[in-house]
Amino acid sequence: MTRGTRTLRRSCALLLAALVVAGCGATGGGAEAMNMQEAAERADSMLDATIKAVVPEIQWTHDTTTASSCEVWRRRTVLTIISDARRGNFLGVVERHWKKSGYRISAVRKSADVPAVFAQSADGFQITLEFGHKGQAFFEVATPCVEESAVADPASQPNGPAYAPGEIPTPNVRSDFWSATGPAVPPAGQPSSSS
Amino acid sequence: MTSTLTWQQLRDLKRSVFEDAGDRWNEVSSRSATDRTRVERAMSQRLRDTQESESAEKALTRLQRLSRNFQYLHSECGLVRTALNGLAADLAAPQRRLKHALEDAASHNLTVHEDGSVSFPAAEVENIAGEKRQVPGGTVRGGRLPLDPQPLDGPGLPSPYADSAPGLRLVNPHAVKAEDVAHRITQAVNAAREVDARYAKALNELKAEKGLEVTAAMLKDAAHDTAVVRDAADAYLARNIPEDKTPAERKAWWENLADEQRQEYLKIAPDLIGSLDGIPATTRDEANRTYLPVLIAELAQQKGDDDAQTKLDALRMIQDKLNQPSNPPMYLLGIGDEGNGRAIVSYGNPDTSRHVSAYVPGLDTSLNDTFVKETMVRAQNTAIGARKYDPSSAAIVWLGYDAPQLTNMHVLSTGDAERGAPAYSSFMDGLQATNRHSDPHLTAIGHSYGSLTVGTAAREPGGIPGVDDVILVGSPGVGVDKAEDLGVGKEHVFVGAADNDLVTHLPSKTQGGAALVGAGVGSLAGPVGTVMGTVIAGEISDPGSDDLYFGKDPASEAFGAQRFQTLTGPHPVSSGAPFQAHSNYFTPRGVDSDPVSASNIALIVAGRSDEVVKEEYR
Repeated sequence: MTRGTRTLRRSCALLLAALVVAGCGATGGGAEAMNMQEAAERADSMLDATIKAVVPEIQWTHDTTTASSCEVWRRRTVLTIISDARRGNFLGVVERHWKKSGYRISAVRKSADVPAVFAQSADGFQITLEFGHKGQAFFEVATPCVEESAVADPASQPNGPAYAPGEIPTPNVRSDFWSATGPAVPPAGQPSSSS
Repeated sequence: MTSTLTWQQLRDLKRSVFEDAGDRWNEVSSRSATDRTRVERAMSQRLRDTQESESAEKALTRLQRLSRNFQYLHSECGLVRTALNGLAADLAAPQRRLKHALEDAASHNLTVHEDGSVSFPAAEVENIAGEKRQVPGGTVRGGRLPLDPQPLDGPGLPSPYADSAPGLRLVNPHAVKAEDVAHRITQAVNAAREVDARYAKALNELKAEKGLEVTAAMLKDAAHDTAVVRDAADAYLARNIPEDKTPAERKAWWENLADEQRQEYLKIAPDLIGSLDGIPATTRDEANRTYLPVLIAELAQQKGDDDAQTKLDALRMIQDKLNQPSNPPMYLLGIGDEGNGRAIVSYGNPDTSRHVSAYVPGLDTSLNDTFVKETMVRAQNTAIGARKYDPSSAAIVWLGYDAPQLTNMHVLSTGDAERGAPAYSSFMDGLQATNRHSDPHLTAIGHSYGSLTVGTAAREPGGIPGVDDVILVGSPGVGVDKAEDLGVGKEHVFVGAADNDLVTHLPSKTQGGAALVGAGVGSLAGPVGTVMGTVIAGEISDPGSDDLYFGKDPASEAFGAQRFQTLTGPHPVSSGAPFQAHSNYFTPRGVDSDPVSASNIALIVAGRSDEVVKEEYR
């Protein structure tokens, strides 16, 4: 145990006494006034912008939305084949876009096979990119805890077939750039994918 | 309703006649089901697809009526069959007892009369002086049968005893045996009459009026009829269920049942099958989906009972979810209203998935709306997460025990965990038995107090059956001091502990005196305050100790588990939500969220624990 952690534990414990008597407050952050539908729309726009930032374009589809009594999880799954060789480029492009958007990178999983990046917006939305089975890329946004409401399906249309949740195939769309097995040598005009 | 069954009828009864009749009813029932499907698929559907006219509409209405009639026939005839089989089975024991008694009577030269009385022959016995005396025969009978005319004993019957002079009484040696036989005959007939009356009542309720028109109300009545037959045949149905056997043996029992017997259990006694570990998941799901409306109807009758209302609301919410498409698909593996309520839900088929996790929720979990809205969603998110890494994954939430409730928690004890642990082990043993992979990868997940339940199950010799990996999150201690005591090897024990999660800082009970003071202060603010008061006091009395409430801190180096990365969670004070970090491991929550932890859990569940991002020990 580090000394810093110990201090945190002690100080938060002491401060809690006052808190308990005062009762529980709101959750804080910029999303307080939102309801779940609005939070879901904000999550959709974050995903829209992220996918738009990936050039050349990838094919994606909506995946399962889940919701608790105050949070929403929006998911999108990528159908473009991203080769082992281009996985790093893909992560780099996404991570740079998130940094540029003011998100804080909260964790990175360095893995040859299943790398992942986790980021967080100033208003408390968590966005992640994970590579999984058959090199498929998964995006997910977890909203902060907001006011309970019904949540509609995402309004945007995927740029390929819309699959029923649970029936999304593994990557099956070839891309000259993302599916290439050689190292990335971006043509002039393309965003650089090396970091 | 009473029965006038005689011993002769019971003796001559061919039970197979009832079974044969049951088979015929079953044929009608099965044929009705087939016919109903034919009406709906081959006729109604085709008509709907190909014709649009008033006459087609009218025909459709008539076809719907026909379909309802077949449905009614199917369920009612099935019930008749079960009642007849139950009758035949329940009469077996009384008939056997009667036959033994009659055999005894014959071998002792006794005569059994029409009314059940038993005569014995005269005998020659020696009196005390060694003189041979003739003792007359006589007649005795067992206890009076309820419907018989006045008893025969009294002056009409000769005494079985000769020489009534005191001290010299000579007993006919056949008398004792005759009394025994008469008694056994009476008992057998009484038992058979009880069975007869019970089933006669049930069968009578299954009678339908002539010129039957099956209405929706009548279909609802079919549910009542099911309950009637269930009541009558309860012992018959329950008797054969191998409750005391292992899940693997129960699975073999189920597979060896005739298809019609399986249908009988599923339709009439779904509650006996739905929670039985060792029964395949799709079967448990089917049984519990049949049982759920029955349970809902039962609870709905308990008006004014807050506890029943809470469970009822939750059950209705679960029913809504079951009726909607879900990804991964939902399987209801257990449901019940005992204690704080029971619900076992799987996202993904746990029998066909290579990777299966079963998560034990903790502190303050019960069958209420929070369970449906929050706890179940954790399991769904875990399943979705794991499927990113291996699509052959399923995740279960197991509320198969009473977790401690904050509302009545004065002392947090190990009792609930000790009661829950054997049930959890049995459940996991069942998963192992029914999973179709030769060596499925099972992960036990304990959250909060649920980690103590998992720990308590895991420390038994051999660990939790079938479990390969153990994940402990938000743990107040797991009842053992070392990860290697959990039966899977310490490299397979994973711990998620956010540094500002209060429950993972509950001080040990030995840090006592100050904790009591803290509890006193905290209790001013209610039960949550009690916990936090304890935390506060413990922190003051012994900051930095690695002993928690229920043993060594699982996130400590001394415990020796693999600690995986979590985001820190909201600062308990600044966020104003003191327990929020405690439930972040599965459920990312904005600023306070933890997708990192959720992703690590998903990797472990999917068998990719080699990729987990580790964190330093506390």
